[in-house]
Amino acid sequence: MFEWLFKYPREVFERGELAVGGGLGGWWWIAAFVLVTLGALFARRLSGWPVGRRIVIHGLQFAALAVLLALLAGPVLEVLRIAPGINTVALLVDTSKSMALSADGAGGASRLDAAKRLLADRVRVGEGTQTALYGFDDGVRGAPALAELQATGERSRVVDAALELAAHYDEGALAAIVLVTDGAQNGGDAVDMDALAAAGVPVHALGVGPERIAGDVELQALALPPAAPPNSEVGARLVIRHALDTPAEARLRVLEGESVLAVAALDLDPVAPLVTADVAFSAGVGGVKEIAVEVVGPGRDPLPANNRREALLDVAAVRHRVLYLEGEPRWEYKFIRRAAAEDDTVRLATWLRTTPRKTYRQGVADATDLEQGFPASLEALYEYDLVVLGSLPATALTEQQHAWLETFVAERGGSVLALAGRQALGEGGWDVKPLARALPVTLERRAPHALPGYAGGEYAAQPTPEGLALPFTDIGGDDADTAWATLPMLGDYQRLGRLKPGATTLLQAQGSVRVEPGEQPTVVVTGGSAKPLLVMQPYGFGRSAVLATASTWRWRMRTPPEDRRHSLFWRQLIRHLAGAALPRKHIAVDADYDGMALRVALKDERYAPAADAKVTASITPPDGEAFAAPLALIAGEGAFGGTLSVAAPGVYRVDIATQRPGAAAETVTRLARVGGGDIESFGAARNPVLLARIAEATGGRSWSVDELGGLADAIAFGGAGIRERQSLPLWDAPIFYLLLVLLKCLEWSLRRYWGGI
Amino acid sequence: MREPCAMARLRLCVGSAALVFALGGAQAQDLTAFTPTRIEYGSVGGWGEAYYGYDGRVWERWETDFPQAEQNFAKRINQLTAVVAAASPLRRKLTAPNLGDSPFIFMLDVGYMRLTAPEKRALRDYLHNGGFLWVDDFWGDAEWASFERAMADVLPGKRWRVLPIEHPIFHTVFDIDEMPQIPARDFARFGTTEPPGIHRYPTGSLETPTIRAYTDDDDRLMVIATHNTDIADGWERESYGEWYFERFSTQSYRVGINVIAYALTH
Repeated sequence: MFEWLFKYPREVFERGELAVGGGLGGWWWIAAFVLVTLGALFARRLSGWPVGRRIVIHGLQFAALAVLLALLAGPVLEVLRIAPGINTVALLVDTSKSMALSADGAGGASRLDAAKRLLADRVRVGEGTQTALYGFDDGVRGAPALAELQATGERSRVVDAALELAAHYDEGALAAIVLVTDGAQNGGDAVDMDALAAAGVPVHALGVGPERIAGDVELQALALPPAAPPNSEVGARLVIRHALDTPAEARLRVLEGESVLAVAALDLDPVAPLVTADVAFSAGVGGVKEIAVEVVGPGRDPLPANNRREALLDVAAVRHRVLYLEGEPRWEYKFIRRAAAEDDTVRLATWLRTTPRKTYRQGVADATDLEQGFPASLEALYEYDLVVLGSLPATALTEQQHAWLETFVAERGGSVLALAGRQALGEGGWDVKPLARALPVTLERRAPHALPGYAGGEYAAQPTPEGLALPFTDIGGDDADTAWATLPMLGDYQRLGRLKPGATTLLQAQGSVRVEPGEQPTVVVTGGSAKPLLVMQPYGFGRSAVLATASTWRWRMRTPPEDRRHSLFWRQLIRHLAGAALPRKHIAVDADYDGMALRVALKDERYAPAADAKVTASITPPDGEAFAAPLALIAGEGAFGGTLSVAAPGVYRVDIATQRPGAAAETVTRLARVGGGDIESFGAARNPVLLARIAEATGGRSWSVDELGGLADAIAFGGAGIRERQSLPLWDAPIFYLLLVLLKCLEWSLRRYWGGI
Repeated sequence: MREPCAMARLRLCVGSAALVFALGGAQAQDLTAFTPTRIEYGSVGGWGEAYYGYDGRVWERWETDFPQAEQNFAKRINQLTAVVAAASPLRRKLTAPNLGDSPFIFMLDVGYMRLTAPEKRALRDYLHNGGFLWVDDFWGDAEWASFERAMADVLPGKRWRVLPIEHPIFHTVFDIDEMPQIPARDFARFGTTEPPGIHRYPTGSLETPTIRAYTDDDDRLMVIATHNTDIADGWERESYGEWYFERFSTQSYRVGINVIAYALTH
């Protein structure tokens, strides 16, 4: 409609400027004089009319007069338009394997055939503009004819391909890219949309293939911890996308080679096409293992290749060192120790004040360990990953030890967990100590004669949505809300101050919580407003947490012996906090489809970067000879690193040797999987969102087939390529004549109504 | 010690009523503190067996030394240690739904004890959850055998053992180099061993005080029995004479505090 009224597309008006083509020369002024004179004479005929009606009629007449004069002036639209004969439009066609899939999702012609038909029959780039045909998958290749294109590529790098083309035409003769694809970006680095936008070439995207492949069940993501202790329970988190039309049950299988490690059932419902599921399996004995997870759909799956993913799991002894300082023998201490004792990954050393003058140590390395209660030096404190503070008055530590605790979090990157108690937090005088800066809540000291901040009382613990997102709140059972709501009530609470800006409440204490039974049990919260119970925040390189209770032992003592929720909670919380502590030696091996990046960060005893270390890496390909890879010191980061390009897909062994002056060399082995798998089968449905993002970022447009008629104009006025200035006449645009007729008809109607004719 | 049965029952009722009144009936428990909890259990036999007369009133076996022993003990715990103990002890049946709120329970004079099947099940669950049971004041072979039979049903397959003096329980707070034998006050003037005639026949040896224990799979103590000794009497009777206090109460408190410290830490 716009184009019919105004003669040119909207984009032309947006990019162009209005001007007067004929100029306001003598003839125009003569015509204007004649028309104004006639209008004045005519106006005398209305002298007997009321003033209001005269104003309306004269207004309409002047408007019509203005339109006429505008037409006489010869209006034009000044635009920059691609110059004929010297510009090229690149036709960039996806030739990855996913383009061999059916275009309609029902077994019809392939997506590539559909793309070829569109290019041959529907895509017109405008007269005088050349086209150049390219295919892309992992890279970009020129193609002499559509028939030459074959859907055989292992990957789709759509954004990289567009960038490469834009760089290829660096003389500015590329007016636009017409991109025909199903919209996958499954190779190379992260999508660099900013770089594509900066290239200045509009990309006009044309999607092929169905947005939903009916009946497909896809294992979209698999998350495994990189390492686990021997025989521990490992949780695999799966994200499954499906396109089922009726509810059905799928089966999940965890495999190591041919051995089935775990099997689980999963209900899939059409109303929830994206499902997250957890499967637990035993890590087994030590070693690096390739774990596969499969989801087997209920019926015939049109894309069975996307039902399976693999990940590497390093089964090795991991020990988190935890120091627990407690000033009051109490049940919470006993049951935390019991829970930690069930976890082979945790080594808990405790220092407990049993009388004003006596202490009791458990879990210490030898008779001298913690002999003075607190670690004897900063270096000794830094050996721990997590420090738990119980009901211990601040006066139990020296000022230096208080300062060490703060730097333990801020500089060493350790974790601190402060528990509630009579002598804990503000009640224990910690509010004026350096650690108060690190804690996620403000500490308030009790005023004289005020009620104690720590007191008995029954509260139910419930995770917040932020808490539920963290794995440590998964304390068993199919439904997390029910698992928490059916825990025994806590028996105490310590009032906390204000939450600091970076703090997150992960658990909250409520008046009471109960579960309403039924087919879908619901958790009902009654009484009392929610109070923060477990609060956490990052601080410096570490993190701190406050747990405002010391009666989680009730979760153990008031449940049946087989109930593991207390143990799970504490083991997982300790692992969560201790596992977040910065390791002294951090080795990261990130592999993708082209190679791998190695990064080794070493710290000395005081957690300063150990730049004096010597670091070397030895890479062993899947079926080749080992070769050395240099790892240089990365300036400003205190770490050593390097990137490697490798061709053959498979599992690579990476041996990293580190040695500090005066110390023995240590070698750590990691495995890395490069490439592999049929990634084109994942995310195989058309991705209109990505195509729209590309088009929007580059100034192009995402087209539907029905709209393709406007493609030539969009390219012509797209702002790229070699352009020339053109004046487009507007005197014959229908809008002017329609407006003129409308004005005169309105005037005539009013005059007739008011009796002036 | 024997009294006519009718009078004994009357005194039993009056004594029990006074006890309940003294403890305030239904007791609200402070879960932030260590609260000594006495277990109410049933006993076999009649006068002199399931109940007896002493100090001018009749006592059921379970309430021997209760509540004075625990009250004095709590006082001393608060004076001597960093443990915060509730001043008033609790009494609970093994089948009480809130038994789990007391991870430490105390049973005395269990020589004639008879546990019902629900009580045995409840005690088994309690111990497997991490609860700690201390049994005190029973002497000789027959009284031990009675307790051992009950425990065979509570912890099937578990065997008791005598704890050596090197065991951590003798060293948590005080270093104890010898298990003390504490007699009831009335027998103390004759020595430390109580006379065989007041205990169940056959008594066997009454002379060797020991801590006998049942442990869990990780060798943590679940049940300890201070056999051939009456630790709680040392608490209860601390004010009955300077000589008794110095000779026996101090020993009793040393053992008691070590046991509590163990129960709170293992």
